[in-house]
Amino acid sequence: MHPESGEQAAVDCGRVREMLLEIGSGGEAALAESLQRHLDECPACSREFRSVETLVRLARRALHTPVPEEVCRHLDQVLFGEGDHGG
Amino acid sequence: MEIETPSALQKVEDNDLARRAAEGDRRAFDRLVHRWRDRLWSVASRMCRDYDDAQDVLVGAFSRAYSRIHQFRGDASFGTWLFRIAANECMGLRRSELRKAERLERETDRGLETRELPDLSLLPEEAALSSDLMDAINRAAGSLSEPLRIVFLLRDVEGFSNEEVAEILGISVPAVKSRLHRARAAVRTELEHYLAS
Repeated sequence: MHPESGEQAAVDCGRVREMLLEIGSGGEAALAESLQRHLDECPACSREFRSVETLVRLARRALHTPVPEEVCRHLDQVLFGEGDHGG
Repeated sequence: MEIETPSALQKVEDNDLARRAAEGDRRAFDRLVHRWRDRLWSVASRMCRDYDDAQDVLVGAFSRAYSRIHQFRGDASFGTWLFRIAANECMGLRRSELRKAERLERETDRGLETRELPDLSLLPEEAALSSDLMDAINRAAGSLSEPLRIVFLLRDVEGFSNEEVAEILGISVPAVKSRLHRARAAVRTELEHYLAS
């Protein structure tokens, strides 16, 4: 609960905290207008929301790792008897 | 800002490919392999750390999925089903380590709730694109305990829903949310000094 948000916004702060845990799985796309309004009015929740969105975006960029070609060949060999028969 | 997530269309297409693979269409399964191998490798290589172990998990998961494709009913997405097989492959190697990590996690993660976390949206654009930051995220993710790391990778990197992660790992949705919250807090804390650069 963020002190600057006041009593009325406290419920919305709780809902936003729940929504934070949906970011990155498509849940944020269903963000209700009332929650968006709350983000516009609550600096603390807005900051949290933007931070988590940034984190997810950076993590996807940093941690996505294509499978090495040699592992692909080994996989094809095991599954279909193809690829690098020497390896 | 909206983050790209796996589409419902992909689920339909994957399930159709799986159905064709179960009927003996090898190319359909090959297509599924091409769709999912990078994502599976991203997780396996960060959970196993060792290259050969990660390769064993990847190959083992696809081999089991291929031999059991006729058991895939399409209730869950193909990706959820595949990652559940992979998680079992991975945890078969590391179940005792996971239990140890869970105990350690309970002891060391207390106090996270009250910590002030950095505002990552304030990252300068050049810092957000730097290889230093990418390396830092890699290190931060790598330093998470295994139970937190697997949830962070499946949720925030691979885009599975909380419910799908719960199904993949065989844990409750509240447990997924709790671990995700703690993982994000830990990674954000590790990135704090980039805000000042």
